[in-house]
Amino acid sequence: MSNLKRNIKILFGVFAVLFFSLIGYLTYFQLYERDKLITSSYSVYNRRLIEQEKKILRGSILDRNGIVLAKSVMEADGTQKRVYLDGPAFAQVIGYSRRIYQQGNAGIEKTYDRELLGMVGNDPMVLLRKLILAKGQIGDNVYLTIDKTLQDLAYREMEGRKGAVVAINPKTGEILAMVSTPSYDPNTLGENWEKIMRSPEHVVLNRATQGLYPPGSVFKIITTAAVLTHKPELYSQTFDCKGYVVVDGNKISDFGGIAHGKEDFQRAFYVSCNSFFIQVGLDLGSENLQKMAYAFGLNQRIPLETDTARNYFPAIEGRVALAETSIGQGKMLVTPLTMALATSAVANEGVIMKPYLMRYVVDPISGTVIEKSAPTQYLAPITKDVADTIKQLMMGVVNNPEGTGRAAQISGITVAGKTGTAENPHGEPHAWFVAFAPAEDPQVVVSVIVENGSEGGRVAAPIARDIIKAYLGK
Amino acid sequence: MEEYIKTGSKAMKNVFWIFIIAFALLFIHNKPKGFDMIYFILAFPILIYIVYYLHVRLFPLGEIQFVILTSFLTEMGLIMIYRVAPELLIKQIIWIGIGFALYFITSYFLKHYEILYNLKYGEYLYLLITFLLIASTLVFGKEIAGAKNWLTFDGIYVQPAEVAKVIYIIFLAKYLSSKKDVNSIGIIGVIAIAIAGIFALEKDLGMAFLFYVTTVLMVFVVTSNLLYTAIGFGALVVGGIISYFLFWHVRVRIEAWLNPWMDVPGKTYQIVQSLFAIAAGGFFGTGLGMGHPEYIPVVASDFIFSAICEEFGILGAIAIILVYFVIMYRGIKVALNAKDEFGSLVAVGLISMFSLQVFTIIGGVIKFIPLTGVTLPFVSYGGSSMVMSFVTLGMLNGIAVGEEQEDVQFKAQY
Repeated sequence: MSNLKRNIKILFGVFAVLFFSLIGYLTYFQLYERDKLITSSYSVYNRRLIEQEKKILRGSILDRNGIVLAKSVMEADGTQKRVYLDGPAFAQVIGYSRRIYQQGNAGIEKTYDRELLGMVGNDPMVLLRKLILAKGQIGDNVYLTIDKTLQDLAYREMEGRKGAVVAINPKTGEILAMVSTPSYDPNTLGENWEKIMRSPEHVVLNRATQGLYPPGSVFKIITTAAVLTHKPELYSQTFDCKGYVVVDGNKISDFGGIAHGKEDFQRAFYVSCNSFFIQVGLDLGSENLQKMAYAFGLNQRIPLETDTARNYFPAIEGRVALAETSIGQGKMLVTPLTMALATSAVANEGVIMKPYLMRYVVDPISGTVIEKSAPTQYLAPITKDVADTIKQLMMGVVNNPEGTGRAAQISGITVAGKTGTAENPHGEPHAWFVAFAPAEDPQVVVSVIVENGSEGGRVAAPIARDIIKAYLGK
Repeated sequence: MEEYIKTGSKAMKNVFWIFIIAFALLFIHNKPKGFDMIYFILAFPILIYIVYYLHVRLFPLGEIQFVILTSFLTEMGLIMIYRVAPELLIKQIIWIGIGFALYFITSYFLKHYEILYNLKYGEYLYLLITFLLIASTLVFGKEIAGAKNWLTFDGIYVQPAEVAKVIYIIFLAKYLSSKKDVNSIGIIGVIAIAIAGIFALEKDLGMAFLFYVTTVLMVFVVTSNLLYTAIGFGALVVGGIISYFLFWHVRVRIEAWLNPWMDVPGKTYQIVQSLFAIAAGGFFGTGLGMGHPEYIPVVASDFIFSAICEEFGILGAIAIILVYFVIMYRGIKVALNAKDEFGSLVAVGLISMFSLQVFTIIGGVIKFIPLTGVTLPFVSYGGSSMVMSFVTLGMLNGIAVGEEQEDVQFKAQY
């Protein structure tokens, strides 16, 4: 009997441990798991958030100067309506929210959803203060790095064309403009969902970050960087251009079959001579070229707050592939943003800053900054000396009487650039132009592509010029 | 003694006011549908007062805490049921009434629990009834929410396993108080595995776990043999692993426990919604009527604890756990003070089954252990569970009163 009593007491101990472990686990859960759970991506299954969101007036999206781009208004029946004030110009960047169009989520509306609902802050005190201070709750406002004036200008320039424009501050990585055309009016997304989503022109695709194109002669920046870094002796060689080269029996022509005659590296770059760069590429070797392309992130998915496509740079196999790759043809595919970043390496002493779209998130009630982006380095593919040399070459493209990018000249501002005319299987070549200015102290990098626009120097360069002029004109 | 009654009535006053305040608040947001409901809601505080005074009169030396604590638990249940499924409220109040009545009846009956011991061939009878009850649902059962553990009579759903729990404990107590040799323990092991097996076939994993583990614990209490205990728990692990590969529903439960995110819209929906509710409540809760516990599936029965977590916070939830802790403590006390081994074993078996059930369901809904569907005694909606929980405590009270009657001296059990 005494054993029995002892055992019953042991049993009591066991149950006491079990019960208190429940209390312990609950406490642990609230202290450590709770925030993770509330902020996790699985919270889309949490209907509480959807209920809460219906009561919260979704925050606004503003440009870098505080001009409202998207806002929500409360209707009489208690539902909310999202108004896009500069619809088509910003359509792909701002995107749309699942909370408004149940079918999907994209762009800034997707990425900064929780901020726009005012639910950021693993800090419960912020949430508590909001609950107390706000009568009708209001979400946080997201300020973009984009300049509305520049964006509108870029959109006007691109209207009626297919393509994309990206403008970046090379020193910080802030995206100043990002336009993709053709576009759509996000205010009509509700009624025209099917039509917009299934548009044969892929209007919802952000061509600046998700469009993949052969870079064409713009890639010569990277070929040059590889030469200067891995085989500088090639930089001083000269060449007699006949308007074509024959590689292993394949004839590759210069644009329009023009024979440039005798040329050195500088002149070959200004006139964008394919024959010269093919010769240089063959001397350079696939390994060196590939290494430099990777250093520029041409095989990567560029990190950004919205979706980006992975650049495609297959291993170079054989001399023909090497020849094509040296002049930006062949199998590689890149996004306009990628080429803007490559250009920013030249503009920013060899360093590519990580691109970003969100400048800061502000609580509109208290004015407190909830989140703020800080410039961070993304890649450093080349040295400052290499960058300076390429900068000189790119200045020649715009300013030399023979340069292909003369259309980008601006009086009083030294523009540096590079044209591209990318052959592709879909008809006319794509017109590329990348540029930055002022060359002495670069403030802005622009990358322009016009699909099937033919010559970059003629079609894309003036667009870049206008954007640079507008940005620096202020 | 006087002091004790004073404390008791003070506690009852708190229970009363919690009820009045909670329902007054609830009525503001969610008006009661029809006078029936109001009458029944008003009947509850009257019921618990009558029960309390009857208990003080009839069993002056009984376990009055059982009445106070179950009043509190059932009222918490009613508050949450009114929040999430008001149409079930009247039924639940009726079940509570029946439960209290059965509490008194079993208390009276169990004062003379020797009858249960002295019954000839009693152990065979109890075992037979246990198996008949458990197996009845295999043959005639109705499958609800994935488990085939219900019998239906004229629209009334009964869970025979709830009744079997009590009968099985009586069997174990009778059997183990007379037979403690290796062979007998072996037979008990076979019986326990057979019962767990039947439950597993009915997909009632919670009951399988409760019956099996209670058996192992009682064997330990009787024999003090750690080897038996180790073998018992070892077999549990092996059985768990085998059924993991054998039964799809076991696999789902374990996988949902290990990774609740694998299939949120499907297999793990319940547990994830439960966790969202607990997270929404935080420490202090959203406040009564301010949360959304109705988003959790089967919230009125298995997941009622999560609903309490959401609206009362884990501080409220911890209060509930502590109430169960006190009930468990009183049950253990009854077992310790029982006048003979049989009474002691019945008490320890009942309180073990009860405490394990509480642990299993709370641990399950907070994802501390894999989820198995059992009810939270006195709080969850459900007639069989409510009535049999009252019977369990009634039996404990009867054993307590029986032991007191034997004693000439007043025992300072308070």
